[in-house]
Amino acid sequence: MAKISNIPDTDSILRFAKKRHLSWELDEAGNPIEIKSCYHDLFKLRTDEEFIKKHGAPEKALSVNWVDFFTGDHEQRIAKAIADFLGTARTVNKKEAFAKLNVGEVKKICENHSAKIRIVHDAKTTSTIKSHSSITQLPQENSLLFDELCEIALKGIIKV
Amino acid sequence: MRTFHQNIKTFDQSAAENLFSWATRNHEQISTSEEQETTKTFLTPELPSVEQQLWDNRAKLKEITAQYAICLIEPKLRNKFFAQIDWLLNSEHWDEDDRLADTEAFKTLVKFILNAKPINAPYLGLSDNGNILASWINNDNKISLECMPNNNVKWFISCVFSGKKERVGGEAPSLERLLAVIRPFQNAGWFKY
Repeated sequence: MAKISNIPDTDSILRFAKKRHLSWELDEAGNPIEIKSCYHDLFKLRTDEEFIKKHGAPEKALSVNWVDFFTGDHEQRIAKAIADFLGTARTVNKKEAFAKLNVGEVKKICENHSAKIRIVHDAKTTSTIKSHSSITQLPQENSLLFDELCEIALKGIIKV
Repeated sequence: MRTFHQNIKTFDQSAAENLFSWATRNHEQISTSEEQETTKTFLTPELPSVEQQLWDNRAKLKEITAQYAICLIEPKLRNKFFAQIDWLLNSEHWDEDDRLADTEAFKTLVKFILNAKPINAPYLGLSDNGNILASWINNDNKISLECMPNNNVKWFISCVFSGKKERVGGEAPSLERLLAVIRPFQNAGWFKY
């Protein structure tokens, strides 16, 4: 069972960004050198056929990792949250990244677009991802909202 | 401005065939070195099929570019465009629930490029259902497209005017309509028209 609790507005969360959700500047040899922007799909809940086939239903909440679940200074907490994700979920290479977001800022942007979201720590007690958290009640379609989220995501991007 | 149909009429079949041959050779050269890398790295039996699917998908996108527009796209832009394709559809960390690029959606992008005459190649991404994501960025000005089959496009623009950010977007049912609705942003520095 999961003990669900709201994450304080002052805290930070990480959203894992696949390479296909990022605009990458490439050098002449085709190697990635800089992330130029994030696509809105980074914040869209998945409703596509492949996802439903695998999970049995459309995505209900956006998965993130709670940075301040861990102890240590800010850099250490970020490193621990990334390790928490990497250690259990999958491996990440230099073509992928994490977007660091402030909880209060995300909620404010959503409120400005009439979306009353919750950002909760919902890791199951049996889960190996201790910092797993979710953004719930995100709208399915709202390009203006997603673009503002992408803008703050780009400012907090962490390349792995 | 030339219409999309006028551009298609100027399509030079023999030149395109030559360039298609070049694109295929170019793709084979790139893929051969990638496959040698892959052989060293991946030994699990499932991965070669994903590798093959991605190779086929990359080849198909380049073939479409050759068929529609390769002789009308500058070599420098074309090389960058192909590099984005190679980078995006690479087997490194390809998730099992990721969809390959939809070739019909890619045709929409190529036709848009042919008509909009971008200054640079787009940055490429993929939506969760395989639609092509493309963006052009010039300082604070950005246009993003989600290209779908049959010339349908979701578009989004964020630009800075007089120091303030302006955001606007929509869904265009045709490329002609898309070109018309983004025309007021022609000073943003993405396109030549």
